Amino acid sequence: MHSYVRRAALMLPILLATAGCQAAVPSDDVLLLTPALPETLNPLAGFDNNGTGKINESLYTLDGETGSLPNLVPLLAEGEPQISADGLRWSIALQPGISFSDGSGFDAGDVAASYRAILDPASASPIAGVLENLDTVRAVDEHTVEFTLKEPQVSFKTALLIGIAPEELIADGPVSNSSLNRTPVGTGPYTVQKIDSAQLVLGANPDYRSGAPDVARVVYEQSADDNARSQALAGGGYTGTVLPPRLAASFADRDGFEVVTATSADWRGISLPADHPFTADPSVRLALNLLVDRQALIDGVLAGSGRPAYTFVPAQYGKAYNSDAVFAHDPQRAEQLLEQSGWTLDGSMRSKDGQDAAFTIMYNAGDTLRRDLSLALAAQLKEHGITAEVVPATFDEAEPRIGTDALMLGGGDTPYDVDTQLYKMLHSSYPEDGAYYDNPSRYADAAMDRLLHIGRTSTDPTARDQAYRKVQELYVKQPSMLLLAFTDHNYVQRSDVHETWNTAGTLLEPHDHGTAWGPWVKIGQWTGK
Amino acid sequence: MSLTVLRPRGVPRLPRAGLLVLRRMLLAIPLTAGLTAVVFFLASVAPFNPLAAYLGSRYEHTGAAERAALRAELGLDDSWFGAWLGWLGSAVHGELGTSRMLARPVTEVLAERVPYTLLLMLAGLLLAVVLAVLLACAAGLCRGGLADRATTWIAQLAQAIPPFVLALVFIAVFSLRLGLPTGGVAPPGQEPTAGSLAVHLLLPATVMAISLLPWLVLNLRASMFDLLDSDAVLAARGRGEGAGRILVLEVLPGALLPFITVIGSRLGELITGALLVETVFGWPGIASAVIDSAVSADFALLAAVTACSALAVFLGNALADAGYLLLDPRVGDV
Repeated sequence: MHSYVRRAALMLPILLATAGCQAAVPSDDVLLLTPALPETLNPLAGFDNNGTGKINESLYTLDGETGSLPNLVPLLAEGEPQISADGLRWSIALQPGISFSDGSGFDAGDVAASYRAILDPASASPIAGVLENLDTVRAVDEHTVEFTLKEPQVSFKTALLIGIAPEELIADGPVSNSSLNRTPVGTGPYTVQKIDSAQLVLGANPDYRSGAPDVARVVYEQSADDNARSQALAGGGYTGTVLPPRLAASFADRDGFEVVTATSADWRGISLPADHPFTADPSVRLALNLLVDRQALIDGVLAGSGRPAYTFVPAQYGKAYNSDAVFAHDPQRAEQLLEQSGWTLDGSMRSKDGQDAAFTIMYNAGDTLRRDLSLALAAQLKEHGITAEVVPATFDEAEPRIGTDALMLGGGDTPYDVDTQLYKMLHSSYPEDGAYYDNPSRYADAAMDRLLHIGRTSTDPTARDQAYRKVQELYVKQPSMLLLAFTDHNYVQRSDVHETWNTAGTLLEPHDHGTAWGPWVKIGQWTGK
Repeated sequence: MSLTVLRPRGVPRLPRAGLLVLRRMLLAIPLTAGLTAVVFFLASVAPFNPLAAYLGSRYEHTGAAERAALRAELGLDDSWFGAWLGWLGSAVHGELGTSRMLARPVTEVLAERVPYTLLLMLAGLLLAVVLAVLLACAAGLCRGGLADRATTWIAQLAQAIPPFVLALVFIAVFSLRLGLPTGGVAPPGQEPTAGSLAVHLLLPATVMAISLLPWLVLNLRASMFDLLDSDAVLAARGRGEGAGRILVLEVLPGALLPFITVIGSRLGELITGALLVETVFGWPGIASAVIDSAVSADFALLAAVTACSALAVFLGNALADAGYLLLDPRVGDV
């Protein structure tokens, strides 16, 4: 008898548990399921450093619609930067009367201290690389800050999208020890209410200078698994989430949900190694670009959510985009080019002087999108007698082989200026001056260098646009890489958000994205209906 | 005189059990320290690149000189042995260091997440034990009968289905159809309460229990069948006692003894099982921290987590043996 009683006692809490029920969601909240919560909320350690910070605002912010390159408009700055004649000194006036959420005033000292902390090697800030061209920064007076650059660079404005923290809270030493990681203090529309291993809760800042935002709370809940996140969203209660293309597409026909696609300058493509006899051949490089059916890759691998990439510049770049700089899908001409340059078909394989038309494509192990793209590309090439072996490789394995083996690359993590999008990929001073993955196919052309220099230093927007259109024209004549697609980012949200809120749209997104982006990137601007 | 028993029944067994646990745990300390050394070594030779984890997608665009400077600043070039000694030295003083990945003290990370993992593990284990006893009893009542075959079949099926598949099936069936929560610890956007924890624990704990079930139930079933053939059971049958009464009074107490050891030895699996289940159900335990720290060679966090789980396994085994000492009069020394 005894053990029956015990058994019943053990079952009791479980039975009780099933009797619980779910409470309704307060309507002033936006609840997002996120694959991973941010490890740090510290802007100096790289949190929200693209001008869209909800807690820590930056000097400039992004303003624009999803289909175009956003403008960099003043946020904490009062106006456009005053740039000295030699292009090296940038003087920026700051808005007066702004205060941090802890009540302290915002001034030039905070800006200088924030940038200095990132520059300081002892901080080991992961975004120090963004400031590689910054020499010094100083507070000229309470409301003016001056940046001194090492070389003139118009696109340095994209480095002014980093969030500003209060000077008195910036400690010396590694950023991983900073109190700002968990309790950031900024001038933005939101403050941190709570962060733990399950949730990040942002609350409206009641003292925000234009009044507290209408969305009172933004809750980010962690759910790492894509399928689990999709099921949780379908189960109700959440506003939205970010999903891979196929899972997002499964919501397209479902009532009560909408799929939001945000465009990006986030490209994928392979390098064409300069020391490999096949891929170094200029006619082969051109032929490969004509051979590949980009749309088929996008439909097959990306479930349609992408746009063909021919150069590093997507159509979203407006006047800087050259719509003639594309490769037609023309296998006939490609095969003709291959034959003319000696890569002739022998059975089912091409070869030239005993060298097979074969190369290896490495991809970052664990990145399934890059793997699938590589495999689909290899399948296309095989039909034309070219063998591409697809192998996973870690960074450490791939780097020594970058001269002889192709690598599936991604880019577009600094997309808010044409210069930062393509300078390092095409200027002949790279890869020597930079990372292994900068200009990995070793494009080197004096005319290209001149154009890139004009784009980097000219303060005349028309001259810059013209130079960049010319850059693309040069590139498609002699491509150094095989670019495949710009990926779009997919989000799903409940359609009834539009009944409660006037939403604020998406922005052109960088490589890194998630629930901080998508339809919720400008959540501070949502207004209640 | 010859009847004098050296260790008569009733000699205080509780202090001896306590001593046993103490002795085992004293032994566990150097073993755990050694184990963390292995973790440091393995993490240093693993193909994971800690700087790539630290920089994220920025790693690809970071030049060689800048990488070298960052490696030096973060101490990534130090030998694993030096790093281990440094960690051990501060761990002795209760200082577990700072997690590079999560940018906060390791003790804070553990304090926040370990309770969730413990709760999930204990609930899963408890449920598994209850289910195992019920199923094994059903099997024992009718050996070779329908209930017995069903029990074996269930155990084999449970063994064959990977926990994460089971978890996704459970979400599809119980969450989407029956309205149970899909994950997390509280309704969307709310603070966890005891009630919400219980509701949200139900599915992950059940999945954990099912993944633990096969070993437990098959072991228990086997030892029950052994006892059913014993003289004691034969005698009870001779006295005319009913099958249910025999099962509860004669068979179950004996069969549960080896069961304790089985539970103790499954603790390691319990921890790894919890990690998988946590990931699918978005349970805020140590799973994601473990995975992140492993792939980013975040020594401080990785070593602390390993040390905790190692100590838990040692303690579990010691408690299982101590339980044996307390419950089985035939056991004199462990």
